[in-house]
Amino acid sequence: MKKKIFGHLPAWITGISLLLLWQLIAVIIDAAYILPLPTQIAVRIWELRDPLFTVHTPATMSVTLIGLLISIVLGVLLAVVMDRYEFAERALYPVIVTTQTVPVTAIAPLFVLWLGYGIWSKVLVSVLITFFPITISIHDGLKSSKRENEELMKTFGMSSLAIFFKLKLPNALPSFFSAIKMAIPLSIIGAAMGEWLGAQSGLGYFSKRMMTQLDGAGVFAPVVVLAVCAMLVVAVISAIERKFVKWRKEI
Amino acid sequence: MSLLEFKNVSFKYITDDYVLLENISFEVEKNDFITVIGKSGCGKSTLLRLITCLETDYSGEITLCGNPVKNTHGYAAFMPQKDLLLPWRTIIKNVMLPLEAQKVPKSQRTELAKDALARVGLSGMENKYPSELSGGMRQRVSFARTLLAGGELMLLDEPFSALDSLTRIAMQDWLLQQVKQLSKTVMLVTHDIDEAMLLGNKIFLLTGRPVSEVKIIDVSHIKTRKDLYSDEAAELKNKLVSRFLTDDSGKEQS
Ligand SMILES: Nc1ncnc2c1ncn2[C@@H]1O[C@H](COP(=O)(O)OP(=O)(O)O)[C@@H](O)[C@H]1O
Ligand SMILES: [Mg+2]
Repeated sequence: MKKKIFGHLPAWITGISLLLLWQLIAVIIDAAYILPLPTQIAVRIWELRDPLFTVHTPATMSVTLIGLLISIVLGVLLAVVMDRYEFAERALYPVIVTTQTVPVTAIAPLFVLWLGYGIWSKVLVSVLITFFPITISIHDGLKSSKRENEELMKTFGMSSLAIFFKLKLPNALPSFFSAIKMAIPLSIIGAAMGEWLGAQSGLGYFSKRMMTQLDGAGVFAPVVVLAVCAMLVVAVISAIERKFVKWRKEI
Repeated sequence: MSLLEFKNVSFKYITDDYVLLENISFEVEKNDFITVIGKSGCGKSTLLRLITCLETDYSGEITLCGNPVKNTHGYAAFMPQKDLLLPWRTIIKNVMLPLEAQKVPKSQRTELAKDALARVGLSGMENKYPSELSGGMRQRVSFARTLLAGGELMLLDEPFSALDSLTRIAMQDWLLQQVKQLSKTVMLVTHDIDEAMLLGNKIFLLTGRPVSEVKIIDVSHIKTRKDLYSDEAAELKNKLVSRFLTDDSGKEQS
């Protein structure tokens, strides 16, 4: 335990130094509506705890999790289909890679136009941002199992379905988890951005409302909550990963 | 009837523009221990791929006990050059893999796998992971897995070439004992002439480019490591080495 804390010590020092630096600069600038003090933000989070934690955090997190769930289900399905059928891979893979270059942020206002101020326009943004990286990493994970292993299992008389479950799936598990961990912050960003563009609740919406009131600390408060939420969800996924993946990929 | 027979088999990989094996024929008798040697890249591993039906696009006929083997899996136990153990499975779970393919009932798997591990001298290692074992041990796990793959024909593709020379010598002696006890038919590919003479009772020498003839050399009189140093063995070794050097000289590859 001691070792673990000391192992993270340099990171803590860097983090705290940055916060102190921020505090210092903010004190010098002395314009809370542009750059509030970290302490002011902390106070504001406490003052706003009721709307923040009972209304807006649940709204954003449900968009995030619904979006993530849709992305994972679609991504796994598509990756499996591309792995099993070569023509599907040739038809889909290049398209998926190309769509990754489309700036979802730029076309997001359209989704609000199409789907309205409700939850689904935000879910769509979140799905579009996370779906591609998840699909690609899982597909690469499935592909990365060695052909020699597959052939050996064939000589044992194993069906291709059994080979999928006994070789490809476990082999893709580490990529699967890193894809999800990478997608969580993206998904939260997508949800918050959607809310910023037009919504009736959510941390992005709340942040924008504070902006119109020139409440600098109030703008930052939901952003900090978003960051903490992202870290918490990633920590939960990491714990699940440690339970399932006890081995490391050999190089 | 011979256990395995090649009749006028020719083969080329679709992606290659040259023929690899041309019109080769040979027979393997029950309880033979065949060692296969030939130049690097001449098609030794490919020969095993044909027997295990990983490649089926050949002409001619390959029969097992008189029956063509096209598209049947699981009758020959193949041991690859690398151990190919799955890093997420424990040793015993790795060894069980062929049993899962054969749909052996769960209740029997553990016992069979334990027996196989005991045979290769790895009792007590059941619940370790492959990364915790040395190269020689991993190769023995791979051998145990091959034992459970069933079939009386064992195909070993350079099983010891990745090991250091001391471990390799120990493993060769160990394999000799194993095969004696098991009464299996073995085809072992190697690039080590000593290994070929020591382990085999017959050497299959692949000659020509493309390989068009399998020369059969009887080495059943070489039974122990000491026999390798007899004058007769030394002469045979010289003959084999010079064959390697003169065969298709002029078209020498790098
Ligand atoms: N899957 C494959 N596709 C195309 N060519 C291959 C394949 N496997 C091997 N070869 C080629 O066939 C030749 C013989 O290979 P191999 O049987 O592995 O030789 P050996 O085991 O005797 O060293 C080599 O030139 C190699 O490049
Ligand atoms: Mg080879």
